[in-house]
Amino acid sequence: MSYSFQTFSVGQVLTSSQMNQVEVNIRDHRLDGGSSLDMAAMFFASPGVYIGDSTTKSGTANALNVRRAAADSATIAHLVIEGSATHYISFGPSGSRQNMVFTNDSGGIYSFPGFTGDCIATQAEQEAGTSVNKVVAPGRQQYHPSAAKAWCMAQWDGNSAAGYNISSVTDNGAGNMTINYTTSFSSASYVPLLTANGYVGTPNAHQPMTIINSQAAGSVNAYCASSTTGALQDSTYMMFAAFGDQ
Amino acid sequence: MKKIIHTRADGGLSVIHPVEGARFATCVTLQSGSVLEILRLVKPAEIIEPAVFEKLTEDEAKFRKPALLKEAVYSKPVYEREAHPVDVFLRRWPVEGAVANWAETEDEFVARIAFKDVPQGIEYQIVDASTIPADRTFRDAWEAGNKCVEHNMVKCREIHKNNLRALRVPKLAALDVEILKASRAKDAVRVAEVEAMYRPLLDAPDFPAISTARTPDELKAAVPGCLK
Repeated sequence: MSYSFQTFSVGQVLTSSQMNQVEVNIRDHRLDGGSSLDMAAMFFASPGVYIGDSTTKSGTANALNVRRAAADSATIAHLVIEGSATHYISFGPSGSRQNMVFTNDSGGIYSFPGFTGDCIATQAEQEAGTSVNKVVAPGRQQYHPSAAKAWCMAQWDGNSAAGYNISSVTDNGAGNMTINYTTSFSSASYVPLLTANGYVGTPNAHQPMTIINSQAAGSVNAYCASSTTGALQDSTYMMFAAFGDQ
Repeated sequence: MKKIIHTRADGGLSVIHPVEGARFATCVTLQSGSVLEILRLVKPAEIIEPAVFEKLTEDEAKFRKPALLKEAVYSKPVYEREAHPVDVFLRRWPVEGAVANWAETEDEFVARIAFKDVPQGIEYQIVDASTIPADRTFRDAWEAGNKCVEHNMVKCREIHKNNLRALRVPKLAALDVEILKASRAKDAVRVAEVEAMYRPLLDAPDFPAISTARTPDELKAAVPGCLK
């Protein structure tokens, strides 16, 4: 086992040629007398830093390269930033840097607040629905004009089976129901769709006919009537969805 | 879930069924064990010493957070769970196996819905779901009682009479055919028989048991034999 060293003074400025020769090898000093192995090495080459083993002294200039022996294959190279607090990766010119921020607080939730304004579509952008270079977060997809802003399946007695954005269902009488929204529409100009599941009525079963009687920003009043007699009557279920701007 | 009842200007009774999807929760645990939550970054200005927090009024304390360590505040972001309608976490509710961590009691929730969905200026009552009749035969005869729904028997009788009138329509149509056939055949005996069959159908809404019925169930049973 042999080593060769070159000693530099503290504060000494290295020449370009010297920089290219600086190599720090971290070796495995095994106690069993076996041959040592290159475990990792850091190479300082102008301009750039390369972390890998002795076979990977190359990479992208002006970059911190982390490579393994077969750097361009599937071999994995990790850049690990470890700690319990917040971690930053900063880029951009001095004085106007942008930060990617990684936190592992609150039960392992990772956030990227530096990207919020840039890559993730805002509610307004999702409502506009025109951007083709933003990504949509699951919590905002429903703001797109094509998404249903409210829906529900309820019995005509007002008991809801399932729904979204419905605060209550008002049973006003046989075949007369008001659906109230948790978050209202921005105006009364939106599209409520309604249908009935099942036949209407006693004593004779008829085909149901559903009608939107009136609509406001915060609610819609719907009728279910017999298509034969026109009388308001309960069906089995009411199926409802509404589209528009909130 | 409790219900909200109120009498409309037209005299009808509306029953508001609060939908649980609108109830505020701080998180939802799925059947798989995954926890869905929405986190809010707590501003350092909102965080104050516990001793100071204790002295605040309820309104003042609403936007403050006590008992957080200073080093936690200043060295890393502090988050809290935001309360939202439970269907915001999943965009639907209910979901089988999912359990919500509610941010309000059922009574608080129903009171909030009453404030929001009962038309302004209308008096209302919050009642147990068990007081809402399951039988909707006489739905349009419901009236608000004292913390319950009652039947207006006068209205019930009118509804029942209308039901009987609807029931007799096909029977009358059948008799119309019969009497036409008998007339064309010049069968006076058959014409008289059929004419006699009209009478009980025409009198059905005046069936005596209708006026003496004291309950909706008794009324439902008050059906003349010609319509059974």
